[in-house]
Amino acid sequence: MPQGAVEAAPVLVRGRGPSTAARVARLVREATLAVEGVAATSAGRLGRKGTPDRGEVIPGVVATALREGYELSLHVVAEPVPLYALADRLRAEVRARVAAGLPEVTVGPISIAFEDVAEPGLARLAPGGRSGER
Amino acid sequence: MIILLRAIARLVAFLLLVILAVTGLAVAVASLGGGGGFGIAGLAELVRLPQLEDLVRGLFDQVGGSGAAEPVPALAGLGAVAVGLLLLIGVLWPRRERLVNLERGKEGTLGARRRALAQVAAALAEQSRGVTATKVRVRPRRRRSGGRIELRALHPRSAEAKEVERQATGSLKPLTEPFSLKAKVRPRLGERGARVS
Repeated sequence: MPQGAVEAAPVLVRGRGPSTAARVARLVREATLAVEGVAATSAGRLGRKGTPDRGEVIPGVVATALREGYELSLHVVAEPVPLYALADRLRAEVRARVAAGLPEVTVGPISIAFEDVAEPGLARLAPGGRSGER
Repeated sequence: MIILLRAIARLVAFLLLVILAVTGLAVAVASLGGGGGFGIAGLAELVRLPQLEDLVRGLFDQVGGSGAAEPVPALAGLGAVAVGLLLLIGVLWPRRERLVNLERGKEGTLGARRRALAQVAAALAEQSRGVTATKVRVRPRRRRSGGRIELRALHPRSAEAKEVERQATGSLKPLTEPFSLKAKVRPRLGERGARVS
């Protein structure tokens, strides 16, 4: 994509290849789910937080094309682990995966929203565990 | 209560839009059918405004007449004012943000739903000694990042309230320290027979 151009919104047509935004979102979702402490990605109560991809939606990852690269918004259901450390791990993993899988894509800011906590079990939050990691 | 008022205000706004649309339609019909073009008098006649005026004049005479005020019209007037005020509250009351902004920087923003934060806070506090149950409320700051966690910690008679407060506040540190969150713990005596953790 030439510099300064903005990619058009993905067209919902079957049989076409995925848009770059959809490829980025799919890769980012895989990376997100691979991070320890993430239970799931969430499209929100109305199911609108996602990236459209040929008639379906990649839930919980919104990839927005910017002038330079992509801004990402992740909506995750976390396991009961320290959230700050989880956010750091998520950003690092996403950047590494995109750099490896789509080297032509530049990743901009990554916003993270913890939509829910998976279960109230607390073994990993206990003081002396991984609490307070930054 | 506010949610109900907001819903009623939305419904009223919708009904007003419908009335506006119907009025527009009536204007269009009056313009077409009159032969001589659109006329305010013709439109008023079409929607029976003179009859309505007679009806309202009777009510005004009742309210504004000499002697003691009629209770029913007076109460109806006060009720109408109250309904109007409630609708205004429903429209103007600021919506409470559900997402607590925990951090905002070049890397992007970091946020969490109030419910998720409340779950984590409750689970952390219930680990502390002497706390049998919790009730948590999370309030995000309006402009800046962060917020406030208000936690009610139930404890048995055998546990000191001050100690419960100290323990519960300490147990919330993994959540409050990395982010701009403030915790306020209020110890409360629990019911008889409650289990101590």
